[in-house]
Amino acid sequence: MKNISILAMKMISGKLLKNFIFFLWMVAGFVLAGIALTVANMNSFDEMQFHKICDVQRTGYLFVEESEKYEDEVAFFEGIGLEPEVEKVGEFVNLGGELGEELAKIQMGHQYTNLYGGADMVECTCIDKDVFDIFHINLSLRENLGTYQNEIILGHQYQKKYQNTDSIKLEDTEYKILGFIDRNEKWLSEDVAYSDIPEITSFVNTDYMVFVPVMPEERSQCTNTSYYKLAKGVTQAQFEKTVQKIAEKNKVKVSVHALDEYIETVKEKNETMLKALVKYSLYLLGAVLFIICVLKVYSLFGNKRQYGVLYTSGLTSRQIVILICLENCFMFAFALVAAFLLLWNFVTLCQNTGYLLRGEVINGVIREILYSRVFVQEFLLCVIMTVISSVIPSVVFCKISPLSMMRDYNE
Amino acid sequence: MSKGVFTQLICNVKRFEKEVRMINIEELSKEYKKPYKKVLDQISFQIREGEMVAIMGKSGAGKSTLLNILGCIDTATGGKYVFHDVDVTGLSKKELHQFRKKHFSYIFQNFELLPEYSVYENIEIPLLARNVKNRKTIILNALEEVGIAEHRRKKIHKLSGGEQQRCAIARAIVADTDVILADEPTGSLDENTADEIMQLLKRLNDQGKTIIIVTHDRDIAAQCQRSIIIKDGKIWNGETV
Repeated sequence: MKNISILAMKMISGKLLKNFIFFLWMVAGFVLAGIALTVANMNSFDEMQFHKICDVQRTGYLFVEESEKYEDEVAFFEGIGLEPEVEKVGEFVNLGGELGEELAKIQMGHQYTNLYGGADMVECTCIDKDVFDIFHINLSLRENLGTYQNEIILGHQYQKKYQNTDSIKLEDTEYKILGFIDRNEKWLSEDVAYSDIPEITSFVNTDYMVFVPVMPEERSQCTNTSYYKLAKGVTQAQFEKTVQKIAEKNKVKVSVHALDEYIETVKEKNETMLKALVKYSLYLLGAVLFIICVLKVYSLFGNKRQYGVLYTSGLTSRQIVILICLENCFMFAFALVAAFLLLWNFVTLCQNTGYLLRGEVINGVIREILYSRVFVQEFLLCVIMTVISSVIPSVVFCKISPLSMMRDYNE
Repeated sequence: MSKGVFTQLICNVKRFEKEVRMINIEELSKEYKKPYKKVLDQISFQIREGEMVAIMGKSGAGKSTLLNILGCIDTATGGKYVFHDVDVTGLSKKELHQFRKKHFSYIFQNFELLPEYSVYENIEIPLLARNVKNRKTIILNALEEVGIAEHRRKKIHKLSGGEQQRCAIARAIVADTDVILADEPTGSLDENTADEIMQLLKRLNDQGKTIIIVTHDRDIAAQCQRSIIIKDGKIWNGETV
């Protein structure tokens, strides 16, 4: 067996280029299988996991062009009656006072850290719509909230210093505190950059995002749903009241749902989509499997002479079957590793370029594949794929008379 | 000489003949059903241990089929094939595999080396199949013997035709079998290289290997101890020419 394994490894290394297309198909198969199975299992996600998938859509807003963003930044400060002394990228605008500095940091820090390095260091934000617990607002239009609101939400570290509805005057502008953002890791994303600094609450400056130009392809992916966690003592009714007030002020329609209610709605909405996704993924998977089978059979018969030579060199039919199976198993194992690496790198790439949306979804998928029962299913699927596409053809192939393997040179 | 002594002498000669007779073919036939074709028609001959025999004939005469049956790659549809005292025609498929592995190695006209492998790796295959230890020494000795030790790391396509055939011979040597079956071993080589390969095969024969060569080249056949000519599936003009 050891010797046959050596031969199988040599077969693979010797025919690396020849096997490359076959290998790529296998990688594609595994990627598809992984995604299909994960999506198929999405209904079994617990609430948090479900939210991870849905929630990340919002973070798609973060992707902006640098130049446009810079202009928007200026426009924002002009909009609130200030003339920010923005000289260069990365410089904070001082709005005055301790909180003003923080607010400036938010605006600029948030902006630039997202542009450079992808790490969001925001500690508090000037936000216009809300307070928190996991409630959400459906805004009919993203531009609803206008260009400027006095209401702000602070990071939890300011909770001791201020209270809800407190007003803070900064320069000539008065800010009304609507709430505090509790430490909430899932607020923005699952980006590793955040987990590196767990004591800092990270969240999206949704107010600022009103000005952020959204790419057309992103727009279709955006929903106007946001999640909020209410501060202690703030009731849903209070929250709704505030939201409605803002909505009226901006002449928009806003609806507020509790989390459970929302999950049901989203589940209903997504169920059809998920089913279709699973269906098409499985169709694709079937197609890939079929192509792998065809390629395998083709390659077996194409290498008939080679196996004939091995046969005359002393290998028995059984050993040749084992050899082919091992060769395929090794290839499948490599393809599996490659598929995971590919997915993983794709996630990193997405995160680095700001496409957190897709990055997070795939990240979630990989996590599910690796740490949940989906991985077992994926593994079983790999075994089945290996059996179908390599063992069966090779067994059938070796049932053919050894002479037919050698016939090429006879004729 | 008395009659008794003479009889004893005859018996001894017969026993000796039996001992040295390695391959005994009796009325061996091979037919294909679809489409029907009788490739070998009740042929009989013997090959003794340590002989170098040429099997000659035109294309389609059945010489390669005969070689395949001798090498246990193919089976006969009639007659008897005895190797030493083993009735090969009565062996099961599994036994046939083991028998083939133990007794036969092959050399082909087109060398049939695996292009993905290096010279060394190609020669290693029979040893891996036979689970032989100390492979490196065996391979290096074989490479020295055929004179291509310096090419051991090269890929097959970088070798000339003669060197490839030497590699194929080295592969047959390391298998350490009783019989080497060569199917047109010089068919793809020029005259000089063909001579060198034949010298190499003769040297192996001198070392005690039984060598059976399929060829249609009279010069090659002339270098063997005897020839068996196949014509229309039968041995032509008696066993020995």
